[in-house]
Amino acid sequence: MTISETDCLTGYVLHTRKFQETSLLVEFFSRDQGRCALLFKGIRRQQKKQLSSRAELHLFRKLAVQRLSRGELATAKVIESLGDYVPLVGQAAIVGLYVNELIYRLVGRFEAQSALFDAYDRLIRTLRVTPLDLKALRIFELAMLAELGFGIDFRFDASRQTTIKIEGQYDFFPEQGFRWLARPEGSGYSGADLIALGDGIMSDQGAKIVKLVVRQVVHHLLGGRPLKARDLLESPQL
Amino acid sequence: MNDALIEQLIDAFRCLPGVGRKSAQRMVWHLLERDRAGGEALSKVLHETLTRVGECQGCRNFCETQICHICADPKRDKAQLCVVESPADVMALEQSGSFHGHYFLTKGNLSPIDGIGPKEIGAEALIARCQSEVQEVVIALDSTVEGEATSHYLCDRLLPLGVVVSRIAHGIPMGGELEFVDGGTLAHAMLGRKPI
Repeated sequence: MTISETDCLTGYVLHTRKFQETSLLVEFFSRDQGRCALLFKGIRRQQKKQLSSRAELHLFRKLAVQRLSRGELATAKVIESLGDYVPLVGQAAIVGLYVNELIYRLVGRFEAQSALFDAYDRLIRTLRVTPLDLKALRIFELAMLAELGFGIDFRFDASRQTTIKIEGQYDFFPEQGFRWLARPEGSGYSGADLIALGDGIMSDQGAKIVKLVVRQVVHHLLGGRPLKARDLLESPQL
Repeated sequence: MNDALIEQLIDAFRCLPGVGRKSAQRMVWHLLERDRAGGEALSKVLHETLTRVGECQGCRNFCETQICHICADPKRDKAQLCVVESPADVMALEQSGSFHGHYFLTKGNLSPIDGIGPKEIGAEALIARCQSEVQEVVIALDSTVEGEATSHYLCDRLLPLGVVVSRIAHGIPMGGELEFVDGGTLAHAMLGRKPI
């Protein structure tokens, strides 16, 4: 049997669930086919070869897999793991679980998202080297929303239909964007910080703004249902 | 088509893991044809168990009393507490004879997609337990990313209490051959090497 290009997927495991006695149901995030469910039959058997394959199905490990059937739930097998495997440890693992939950809940099945996949790939590689690079997380969050069609425009004042002014103070509404505050009273986001973000400059202050704004958008997209991973991100900067 | 009661019993057996309709049918025919006394004993003990077995207030393992026999044993070392995932893990460690302290069961690893967070793994109960007597917490969770994240989360919460937090070693299994060990396990083993 020849392997066609569409049968080979490159991607990451987002989530695994035990299925029957020896199989594993895997939520896979691939570059070319988006999020899909794959069934790895017999991979939990206590044999040397299967143990080795099962270990390869860890989260945050880039893999090439082969689909052996078609349909909503395809059977598959691991071809090989790609690149060095440096596991995410400590805080990076928790950030990774948060990102996986975001993709699992916001990205539909079989929607190819190659740019989003590349952003995810970059983030995972960054977290392996610098586990607390939260600016990388914020950049990923913005890229994810943009790819899903909910990009945030940091330069546009929705209330006055004009550009953000450097001296202004603004509030954010998920369905509209930034709106000028006539009476800021110490609250809101500074126009200078928003313009810097619009220019692609992610300062510490900018990262804090992105965190709050993305949180609002995700909350809106999930219809108010909370992200479970939020409970783990207790550190104020996360 | 079977009688309603027989069908109900077949369906009831199918709640067991790995038991499909065929297996459930075989079990029901066996009980009805060959071992009615065994079936009655099974039904009685099943009812008793489900009614009387609850969760130990100390370690969250299953037991008939408020405190399980391990938590109540005065000979065990109260200064050491081992965090494991399931009752099967407690049994495995007990059979190894390598640990003589107390246990705490998380009953799962952190997995946001499955809806398992700090509350579900009993983080607050563990912290409350470590407020007195416990000096060392040994984390013996799965060697998976979820296990790693759970260990890190618990470690972050436990260290401020002044307890020593350790984690069991990861690496090559006893009798294992290097050529069959995957790259991730080998990387862990290499990182965790120690002088001999």
